[in-house]
Amino acid sequence: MRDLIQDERTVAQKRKIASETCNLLLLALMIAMLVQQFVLNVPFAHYAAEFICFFGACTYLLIRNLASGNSLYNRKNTGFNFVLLNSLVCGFTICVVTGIANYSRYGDNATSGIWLITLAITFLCGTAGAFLSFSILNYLNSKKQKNIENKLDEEEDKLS
Amino acid sequence: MKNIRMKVARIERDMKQEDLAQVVGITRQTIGLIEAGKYNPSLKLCIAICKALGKTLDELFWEETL
Repeated sequence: MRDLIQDERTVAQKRKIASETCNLLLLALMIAMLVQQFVLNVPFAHYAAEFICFFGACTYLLIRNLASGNSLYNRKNTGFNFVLLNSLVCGFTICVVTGIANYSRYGDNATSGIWLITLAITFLCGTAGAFLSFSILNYLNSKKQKNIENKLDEEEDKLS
Repeated sequence: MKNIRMKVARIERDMKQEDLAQVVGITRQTIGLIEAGKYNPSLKLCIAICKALGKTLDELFWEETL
């Protein structure tokens, strides 16, 4: 009997530690990429490994969570307004990061008019790209959740 | 092993899985998995479900045959 029972507390604690390690690793990969790209200005080949690992891990996390039917967001209302707000925030972040990076490289050559137009285009493209990505993710997430709801409804009807 | 007692207690209270999930503060999927016997809830979750259904731990979760 003793061999069959696992100490749940230690198992849960080990899982939590592994999860925290994964999060720290992802954060470190992201920081390494950003530093190499924007501070050290190295060619892509130098940080390609970090790039592949980071986005590969993020894609894996997304796919596994979607397949399990877990909600990607910790909130119930994830409609159009939520997706739009997220997209605007992403677009703004992309605009700021790209703007700073471009200014540090080409700031001496550009006029303020060109800067504003560049920033505006970057913001619009970033927002549009983010909106498309979030919409697709939202759709897939909702579809999976509905499938699970339907399966649960079928089981309810069977047993009742 | 399926938890029929929990399901019966829920139906007695005229609650859907969604309603119970909302009261307890978890997802409907988790309630479904617990009733289907595919997930072992923690003691804390068991107590929360018992409170929501007005039953004791013995009535809902004690295994009759070991």
